[in-house]
Amino acid sequence: MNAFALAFSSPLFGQAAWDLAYAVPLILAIAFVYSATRDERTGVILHRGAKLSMVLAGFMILVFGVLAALSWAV
Amino acid sequence: MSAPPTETRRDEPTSDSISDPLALPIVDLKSPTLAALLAWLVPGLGHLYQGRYFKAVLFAVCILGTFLGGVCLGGSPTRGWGRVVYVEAKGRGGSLFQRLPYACQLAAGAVAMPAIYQTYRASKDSVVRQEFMYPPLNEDEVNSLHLELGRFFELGTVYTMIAGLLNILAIYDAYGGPVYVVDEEPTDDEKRRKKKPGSDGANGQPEPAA
Repeated sequence: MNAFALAFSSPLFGQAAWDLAYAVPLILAIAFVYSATRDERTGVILHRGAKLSMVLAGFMILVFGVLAALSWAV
Repeated sequence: MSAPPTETRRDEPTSDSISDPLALPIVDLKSPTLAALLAWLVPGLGHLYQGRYFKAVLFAVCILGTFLGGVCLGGSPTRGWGRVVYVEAKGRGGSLFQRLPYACQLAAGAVAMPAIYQTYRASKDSVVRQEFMYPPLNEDEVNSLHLELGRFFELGTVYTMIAGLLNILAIYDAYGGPVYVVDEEPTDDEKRRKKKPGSDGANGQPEPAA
């Protein structure tokens, strides 16, 4: 098993991934509050907030994956 | 600082793109200073005063929810809740500004203020108490809090700080109205001018008046 596969099959990775759940309320709060300060229309706020939360979550998952791989590979 | 306009734009377009900045909903900001003060004291209250009910609920739920989430994460029934919200730890040579996270937490308004009273109490009698927002009295107590709460101490600190920072955005929104993001797309008129440069004179420049 190479280092990359080891990184993602480790129980520590599972724990760290589960800890990412604590970021979800923060991501939602930041996305919707930010969107609400950029418009006044309810539909637009909700639409942009949902979109921004997806972008933030995707970015964090990407960075998490890279860091998790690096931490085990190096 | 000049007072912001008390009204912005009119009519409600359906799409989320803004091709015509003049076609935006009216926002009656009433007294912007009072609204900003209320928004600081209780997240959402300034918007409630302005009659912006959806935003009032959104800010109250998001900001107060995040702050109270942090208070719960950064405490325990035995050590007291909200131990991550404190002004200073006595005996660490601290001053108000050595506890920088509190500057962010205080932006969330009245919910962070019990920490000031608790710090005043701690400065009077120096008794170790496991109470709501009570400051750790020395380095050992800070260490024991970290040991007992683990990563939740940091999580609680981050939650409460972010709640305060988000409330700064909400306060500005109550004071000055929303900061609309206007599309950079050229208008139809500008597109037409680019397509027919000869019609407006040489090189797309308008012809001088006769």
